[in-house]
Amino acid sequence: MIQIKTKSLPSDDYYRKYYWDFRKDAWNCSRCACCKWIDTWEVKSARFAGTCPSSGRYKFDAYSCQGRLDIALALIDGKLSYEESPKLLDIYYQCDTCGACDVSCKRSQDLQPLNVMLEVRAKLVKDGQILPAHKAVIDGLKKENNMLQKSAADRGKWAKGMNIKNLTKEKAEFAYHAGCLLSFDEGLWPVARAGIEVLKSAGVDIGIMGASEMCCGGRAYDMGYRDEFYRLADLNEKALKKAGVKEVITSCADGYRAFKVLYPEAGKQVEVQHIVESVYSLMKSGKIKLNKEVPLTVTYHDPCRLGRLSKPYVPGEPIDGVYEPPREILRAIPGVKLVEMERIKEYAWCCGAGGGVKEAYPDFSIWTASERIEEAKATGAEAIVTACPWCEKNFKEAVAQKGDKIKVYDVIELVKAAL
Amino acid sequence: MTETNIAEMHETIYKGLVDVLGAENVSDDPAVLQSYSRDYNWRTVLTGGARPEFIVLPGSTEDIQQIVKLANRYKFPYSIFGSGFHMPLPRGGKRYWCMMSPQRMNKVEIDEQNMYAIVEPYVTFAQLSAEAMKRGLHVGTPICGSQASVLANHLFMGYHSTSYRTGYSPANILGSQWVLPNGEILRTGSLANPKCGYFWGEGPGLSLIGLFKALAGSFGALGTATKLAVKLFPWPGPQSLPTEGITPSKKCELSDDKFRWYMFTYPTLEKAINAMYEIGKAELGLVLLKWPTIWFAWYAAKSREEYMKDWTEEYWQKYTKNCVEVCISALSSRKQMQYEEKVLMEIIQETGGQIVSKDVYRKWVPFNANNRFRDSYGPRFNRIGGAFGEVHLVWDSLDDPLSSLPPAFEIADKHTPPFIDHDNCDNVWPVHLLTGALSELDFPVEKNVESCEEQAKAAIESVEHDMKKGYLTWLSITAPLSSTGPAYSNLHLIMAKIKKSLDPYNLANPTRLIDMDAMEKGSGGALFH
Repeated sequence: MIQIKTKSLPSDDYYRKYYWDFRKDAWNCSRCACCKWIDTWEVKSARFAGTCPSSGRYKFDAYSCQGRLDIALALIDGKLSYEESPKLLDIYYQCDTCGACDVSCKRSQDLQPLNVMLEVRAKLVKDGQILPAHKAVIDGLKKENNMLQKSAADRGKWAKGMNIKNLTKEKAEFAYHAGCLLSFDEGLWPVARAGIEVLKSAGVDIGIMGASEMCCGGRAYDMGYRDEFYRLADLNEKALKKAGVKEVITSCADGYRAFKVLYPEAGKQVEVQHIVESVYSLMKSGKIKLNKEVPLTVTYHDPCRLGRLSKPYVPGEPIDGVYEPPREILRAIPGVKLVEMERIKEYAWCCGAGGGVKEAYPDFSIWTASERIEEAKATGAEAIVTACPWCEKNFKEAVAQKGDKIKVYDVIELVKAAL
Repeated sequence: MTETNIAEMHETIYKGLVDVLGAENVSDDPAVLQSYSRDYNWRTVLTGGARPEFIVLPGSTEDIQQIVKLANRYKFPYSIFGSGFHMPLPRGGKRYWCMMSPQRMNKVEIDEQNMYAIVEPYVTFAQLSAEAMKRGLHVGTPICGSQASVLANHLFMGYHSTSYRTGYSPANILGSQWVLPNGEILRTGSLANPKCGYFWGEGPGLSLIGLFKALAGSFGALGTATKLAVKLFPWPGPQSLPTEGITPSKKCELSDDKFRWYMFTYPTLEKAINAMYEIGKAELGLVLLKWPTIWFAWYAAKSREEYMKDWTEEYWQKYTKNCVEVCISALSSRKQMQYEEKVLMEIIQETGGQIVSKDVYRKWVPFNANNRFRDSYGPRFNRIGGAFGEVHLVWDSLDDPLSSLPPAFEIADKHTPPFIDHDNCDNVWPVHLLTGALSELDFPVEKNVESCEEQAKAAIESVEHDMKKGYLTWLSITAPLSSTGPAYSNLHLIMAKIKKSLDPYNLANPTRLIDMDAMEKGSGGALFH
């Protein structure tokens, strides 16, 4: 037998020493189709095997990660122009940027396709290829520093009547960042208020920025509006530094990921914990005791930006996220029985509200949420519990539209009920 | 035709497709078409790929029948694909090409008592495996990964982890349903008889299924499969895989009472093959494999960096050269397992096998070997250089690799670099209790034009060598028969007649299987498109 010891390795450092390259990641997509499915070890049924809402809803490969990479490559190499394709913007924006495809691709190819898609969106915006629905939201953001086109002056109203420090006037150890949706959606105010009550009951020295709180910019980043994101990252860093807080506590998964992952990429530093991390830590130290019975069978939905998108990627390392704290909290509530859906943690199905989809394609957003509701119902749970206001709102709308009976809660609402 | 006429014909076909499927299931948007224009393969790197002209989403056999009838009416070519991994096989390279994307055809049905599943084209192995395991049944796992289409893989070279016991996948096809290129619906096996269902694959009497599945399928050039029944096998394991950890660091521990892996090495490939013969004669095990070291390395590494580290430190080269892997499983009883284990240990001892260390075992079995019952990390082979090449993939006897691999090593060596290290990739994959085996030499290729041009040269050398020797290889089979047929008993002449009778206008995936245009011009055409 001939023995060959060539020691012939790739000439391109890309293959030998890890670094990320926009075009190379698109070029190296092997179209293996893993991006359409959850980690194949974890498939438990034919019904809930898919991982990509966009691919599931629109079917054509263009709406899958691998198709979008083909299109990205064609755009970079000048083989496709904006003028040629009336569908191009829909293809790129009918995606929640939930990162589910990214997990499957990292598993099998060690590529970062989500970054490619976000880069393409940034280029589209830079080149003036924008969706009217997004433009309205971004115009509002520029003017009022929130994603809901509401008056900035009304931002702190959710906390009316609560005895809580105003960080523009008083000092506190922690800042509670409610985020845009909890601040302006009255139906969700009880979640923010419950968060404050739970933290205060454990003696946490916490305050809010009130009307001075600003959007984290994470959603603008996902929609491709980088300049807006950088502006808000800068403003938030300065405001929180001025307030002198040690750390931010937020109930919003979008905000959590922005502060934790996107800000450092932009050279900004804001220490953050999600409220489920805070509560879990307080439970462990005995400062929060859950005594009251809450008789309910629940299933937990992992928000993408609290889960798989909440840690910077280290090749070969687990795609970790805040998976266990919310589950530990639910297990600790007397009477609560936690049953798992088929797609959980890093391979959880998205709620459908992210990446600018809710703003521009409400039907697709509800379709995605309805798929998750079906999965939740299949567990026999009476309620689907999550830890992100965007997920909660979208689920509630999907349940209402379909006339379903399943209840939707934030983890903190159940914690408050058990105090 | 003038440009105006071409545009009018395009519009006519588009409207016809919309009439059949509805506007939401038809697209000629350039961005949508672009996403069906390429794959990982070195051929596509060199050709740049090609966009089809229409993409359609059929939802049923009847939809496909209508599309094919429309194709015959307006004389436009068409093809279908499964997951999209192997695009060179169905590639849109001619005007008006219509590609069928089967995402809407995703139904799976399991007949538990008769141990088979009926699948439509878009059902993946992972989906079928999950449904089968719940019922105590199992389907093999293909080497390309279980994101692949069950239907496509069963028709096209489905080598499964359990093929030693469960066979080469085309042998596991039962009743099937096809739309022929003339628009007729063909049912094969027991399905050909009304009310008989899918339970049997061949006959009665003459059966056309052999023509469609052959050794490596017919690439949709003779008909489009719309439903296939495939055999399922007993599964002694749990109803769902007991996984632990977070991607990509997942592991799976299977009960020691039901599954036991043995990994043992030999100083030479010949000795490893001899041991495999002994194991096969005794009919031991559910899995029997002899993987090359590079496969261990590319499956085990969770990142490119980890791969390069392990490879340059020669971890897998040191510990898994000529390594035979056996999984003994309690298919019938614990006593049977104990018996098999005892016989296997005797064989290992008699053949001079060395059991691998606990470290190697622990690094491999929970993270990879157990994965063979659900998935494979197949797509990881592309990470190393971005592309993948092969100069030898032969179906023959178990000891054939001893004579057929060395010339293949010479071809690979001649082109290394730029081919990337593969440590004499010598995969030996037994099927059907050793009545045959696949041997394979493949290697990572850097995904750039220079390396892929070198791969093209090596592929041509390899096919010419194989044709001279009469080997049936992956490369010679995937090249159009019009170019290789003369070396294989003039098979192209018979195939041309069959193709003509089933597909008089040469519309069904006309760039593959056989190049009818080239034959009409009196040439064989190119080896690779």
